[in-house]
Amino acid sequence: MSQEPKQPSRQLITRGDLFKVFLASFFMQAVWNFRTLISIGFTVCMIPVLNKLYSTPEEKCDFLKRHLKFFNSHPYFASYALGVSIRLEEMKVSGEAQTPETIDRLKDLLISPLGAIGDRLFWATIKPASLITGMVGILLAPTITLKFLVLLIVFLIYNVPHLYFRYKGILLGYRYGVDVYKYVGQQQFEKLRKTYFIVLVCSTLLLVFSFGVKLTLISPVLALVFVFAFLYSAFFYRLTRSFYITSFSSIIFFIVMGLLFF
Amino acid sequence: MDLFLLSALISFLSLDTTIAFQVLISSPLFACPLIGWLLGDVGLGFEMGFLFQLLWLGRIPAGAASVPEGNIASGVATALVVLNQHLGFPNTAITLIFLESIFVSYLAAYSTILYRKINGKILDLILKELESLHFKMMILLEAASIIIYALIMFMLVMVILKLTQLFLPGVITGIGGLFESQLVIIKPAILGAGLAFVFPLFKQAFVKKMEI
Repeated sequence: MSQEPKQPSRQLITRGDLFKVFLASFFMQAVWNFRTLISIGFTVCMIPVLNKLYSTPEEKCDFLKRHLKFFNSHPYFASYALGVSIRLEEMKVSGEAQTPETIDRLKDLLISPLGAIGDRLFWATIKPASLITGMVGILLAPTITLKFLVLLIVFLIYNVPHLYFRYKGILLGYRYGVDVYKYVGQQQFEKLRKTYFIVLVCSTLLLVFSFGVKLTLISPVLALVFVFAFLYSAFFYRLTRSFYITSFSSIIFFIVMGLLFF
Repeated sequence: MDLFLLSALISFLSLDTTIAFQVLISSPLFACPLIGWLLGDVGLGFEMGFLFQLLWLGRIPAGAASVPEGNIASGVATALVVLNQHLGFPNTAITLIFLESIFVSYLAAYSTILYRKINGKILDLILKELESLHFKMMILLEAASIIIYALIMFMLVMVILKLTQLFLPGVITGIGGLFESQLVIIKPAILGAGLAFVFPLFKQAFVKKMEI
């Protein structure tokens, strides 16, 4: 972080423009398609800076067509690629030898790490950690008001990092341009991932324990059903890898068990 | 609350899953209490959100993967459970509606694939408009795509709610009268199955670090 990036000779983009890009990024996956994946949403996000960079309709259309090529990323971490692309486009306009090929190549290089980091950090860690913590809170909160308070807390513990990366990614990408790769390594996010992973493990254990105790107090047999349903479904899911078959067959199995033995 | 408005709300919430915002409000934990509250039983909404949340949490929508649309399915399930709670067979209602929700999650996932194919046509339209130097059309076409998704999900939810409400009360009453007490195992069974789907996340969290 210590090395100061090279500034473009002519700064055309303001922080306000980048904020507009940030707002547009909430629709990043809006026109997801099988040919270019999120490229349409990605390109629309850059429309707020379009008029600052190019003046003629031909230039604007070329710019948009250039970014409509295949692109994919985690929706929150695509902000890094947005910032970089804006920066390189600005340098290109300023005549600083950034060719469209350079921009395309850098975007292609960012697809894999941004997707992998985002999926692992958010989909596989922060999201389940936040929601399972919320489940524990809802299970333990005695009143509806407290349950709503739990939802508010869950909303914050998920969306604070979400909004931070969405916005900071644009700023960092724009600031560091081609050097952004120094800031999107897995190790940059490892501390945060580990923190949320500990939350995920603790909240899952607490959920199992508190739900198990609650069931045992009603009927120990129900607690056994809970444990057995977990084991049965885990085994079946490992065998079939199909959510639909596993969930359907598990519930049918337990319905039959219920009818036979209860 | 009218089924029309209910379908509109569920389809609007579904936008949060992948299309816009992605701030978690479409998750069962958030959406189900909201639906329960609007239908007059927020407590049951919380219970449904709690029961359904784990089921869909383990599927990661990475790349072009098609995952079960659990958020829509949970919304529909919560609406149906609250609408049929006056029948007095809660375990039977949850059992039947849960089985239906798996089917709904499949149908919604299939609709999402269809929507993504429609987006391919929208891409062609955008490229055509850009050839004619109409770059402002891009924003309109993006908005159109969002509306198309909301409409597809609205129609799906509306048809499911209307059709289900035609026969479900009768089925719940018929089966509930015979087996309500036996179906008491459904809630721990759903939660146990849900936990099994989340379990692979612990394994994935330990995968080898990937560097740029």
